[in-house]
Amino acid sequence: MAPLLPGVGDADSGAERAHARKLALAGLALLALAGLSFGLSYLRLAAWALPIALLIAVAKASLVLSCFMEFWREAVSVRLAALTALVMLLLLATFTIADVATRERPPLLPPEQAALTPLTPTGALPP
Amino acid sequence: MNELADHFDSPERQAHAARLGMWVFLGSELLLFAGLFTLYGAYRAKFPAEFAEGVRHSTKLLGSLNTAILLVSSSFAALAVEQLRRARRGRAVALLLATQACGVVFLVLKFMEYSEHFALGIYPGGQGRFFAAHASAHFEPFWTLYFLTTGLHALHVAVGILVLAFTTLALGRGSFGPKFIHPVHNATLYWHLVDLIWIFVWPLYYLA
Repeated sequence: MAPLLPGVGDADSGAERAHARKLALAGLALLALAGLSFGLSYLRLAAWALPIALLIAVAKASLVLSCFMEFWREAVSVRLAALTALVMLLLLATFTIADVATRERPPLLPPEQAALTPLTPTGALPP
Repeated sequence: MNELADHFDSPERQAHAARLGMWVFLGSELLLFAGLFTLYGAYRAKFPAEFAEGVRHSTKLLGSLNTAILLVSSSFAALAVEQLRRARRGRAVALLLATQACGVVFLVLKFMEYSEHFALGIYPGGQGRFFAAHASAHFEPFWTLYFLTTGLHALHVAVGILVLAFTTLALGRGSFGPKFIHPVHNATLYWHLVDLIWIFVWPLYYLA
């Protein structure tokens, strides 16, 4: 059986100090990553701006999950419950955004018909 | 205080049940915000220029300050649990109070942020002179989602402060010892979730 909480009852004060140091370092790393996001927002990254900002956000979220929430030290049942919600979020967002982003494009046409059907500037089929 | 409830045969099972229940709750909270994040993605795919303009109009400095405050507060909350494990109740209480103080500062800055938007005529639901002046543009989706998402998040910050306050009070009265800390751990988990949500709200509405 797992302990009440990971780390509870550790007699080794050196290990406790190391854990506290790890938390402080994680906090500093989070602030550094936030600073990086803030700095990058002033650069002209055009279409890359949002993916890069979200990538840094994922890195920060991973730090919070693993260091502060001790997610990977939880029981399998706990991890499964949380990951299910994350998978549902990704499914919902991916398919909804994919639907909206591709709704105005034409359906797949045979190549010979597609060559005869010029598209409008927005990518939609002509009326 | 009797730490072990009657229907559990061991403290380990009780702690595991409490943590499982908390993580299921956090998962449901994530799904609550999932709808708003999905709407953001869908509308941004439809109105990319309007969303980019909306981000340019948002209060980047205040939003970024709030990011730093929430990250620091999360560090305080995690350190509080660490101190409690080492039976340092006084330090744990101080760190939890510091976490709540950060939450209050966050809400004050949020209030200032909303005040700035209201002064520019940007109100929820596409109301105000800003939208009247840009009648041909589709700015409403960005700002409606902005107020919905940040408002719901601010509500969670307020609830988090209350949860931490009650937990701190109980901790100060000696209700939780070093071997019975999962109520405190669960309260800090809620706070970390609030931080996690903001980590994604910040780039979407303030940066890019």
